[in-house]
Amino acid sequence: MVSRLPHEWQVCREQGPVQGDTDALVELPAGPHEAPEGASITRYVTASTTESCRILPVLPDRTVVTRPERPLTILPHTEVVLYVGSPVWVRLFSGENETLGDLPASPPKEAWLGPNTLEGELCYATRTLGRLRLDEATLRPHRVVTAVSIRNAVDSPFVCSQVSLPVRQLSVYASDEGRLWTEAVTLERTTTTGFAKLHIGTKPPAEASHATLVSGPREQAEHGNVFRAFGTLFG
Amino acid sequence: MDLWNQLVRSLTTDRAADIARAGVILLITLVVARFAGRGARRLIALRGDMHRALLAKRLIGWGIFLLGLAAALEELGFKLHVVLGAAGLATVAVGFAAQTTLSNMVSGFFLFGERPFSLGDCIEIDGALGEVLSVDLLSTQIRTFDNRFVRIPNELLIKSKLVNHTRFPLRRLDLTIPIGHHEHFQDVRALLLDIADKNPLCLAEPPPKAFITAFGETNALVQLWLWTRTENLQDLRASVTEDIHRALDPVKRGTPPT
Repeated sequence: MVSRLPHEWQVCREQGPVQGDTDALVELPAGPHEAPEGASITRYVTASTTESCRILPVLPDRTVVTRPERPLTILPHTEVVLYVGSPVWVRLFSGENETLGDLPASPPKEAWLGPNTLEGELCYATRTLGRLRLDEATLRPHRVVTAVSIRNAVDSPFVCSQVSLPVRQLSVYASDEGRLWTEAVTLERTTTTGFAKLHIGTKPPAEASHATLVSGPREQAEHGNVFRAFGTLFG
Repeated sequence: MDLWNQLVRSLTTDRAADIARAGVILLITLVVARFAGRGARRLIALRGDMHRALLAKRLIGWGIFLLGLAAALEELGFKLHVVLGAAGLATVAVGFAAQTTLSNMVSGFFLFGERPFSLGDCIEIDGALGEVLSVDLLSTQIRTFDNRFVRIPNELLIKSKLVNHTRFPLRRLDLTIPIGHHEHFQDVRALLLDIADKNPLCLAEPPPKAFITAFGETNALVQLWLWTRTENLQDLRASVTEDIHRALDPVKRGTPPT
């Protein structure tokens, strides 16, 4: 809920009763109201407020590690496309250009990504059903879909138990049907070490070829668009 | 009167020029030592190491001051090699008397190189638990969480077991929960893991774990492992223990304790 007060924008966020709801609601109340009990309130104080505010979906500020509900075993010399959903952050603007801040539409759980508890980084953890067909994936307006092409180019099966998406380097596109997309991503396994290279494409997948750019990446990739994804983590 | 005449004569002879030169040398030394120490502190602090920055400031400052003092004494006519020779004999005597102080100083240098902790870390040693305020040549000062000041000799830090609670980014919270033998462990484990899953401070990876560690006559002990960011450890402990107590309340669950 976003409210305009004298010299202040007030954002009231309330988590639904069940985690993983299919809807996220942004409400602009017409008159005075009270914040629901248990809601978190963020106040943005400015010298003057405008008559309008703008919201924009962006991707999270950290890497998102997605675990399929059940690990996928990709057979040798096989390529599949996995549709992975990432949580959406909402960026608020006062007027057209004054940025107030970013808030998660549905806060995901924090997790640690690294070879052990000494080295690594904080990230967000989500779960996915791991749909291989887009028509089986439920349309969730507060999730951004990434079409991950997983290519196993070696002679042994590849057990994909999780995928870490560098969402800071991804953009958000909106398709006509109201689904949010990122650039297509390719996960390629060329060795048997358990690591796979991840390549970020330059546009959304073919399923969203007419999608329009909504928001750009938070940062540009420094070493090209190649990252690593883990087959297994913490044993 | 004779004394007064002697004083006047000393001030108007070459001796006065020597005294003035020594004074100027000392003054310049003090200024240079101060700026050099500050510069060294700022340069090292840019790397985020306040511990070494403070130590470097003191070492460089005192080092330059001692050099300037030696130069000033030379101007005044003191023969330093004679003084040092005599000091050599005195050092043996002083060394025996100041063993502990010298040991603390040497330990301070070893701490400087080994870096088992940094300023702001939470350490525990010899029964004292608190935040590191400063690390000096002879001792380390910490502030306990009930706001007491504790001075720990560096020698003790070198030769005792020291625990640094904030060295790493993650910490594990271990909780022991007794459950009655009438409780189904699988239900209790599902309940505990659900509490962990709903708590925003508890990390999803490494994953929480719950398992039985011991059996008693009337109950079993369940161990719950939860991982969190180091700075959130106490908040997680407070929120999870409250949630568990509420969830396992036998009256609320309608299951009378036996």
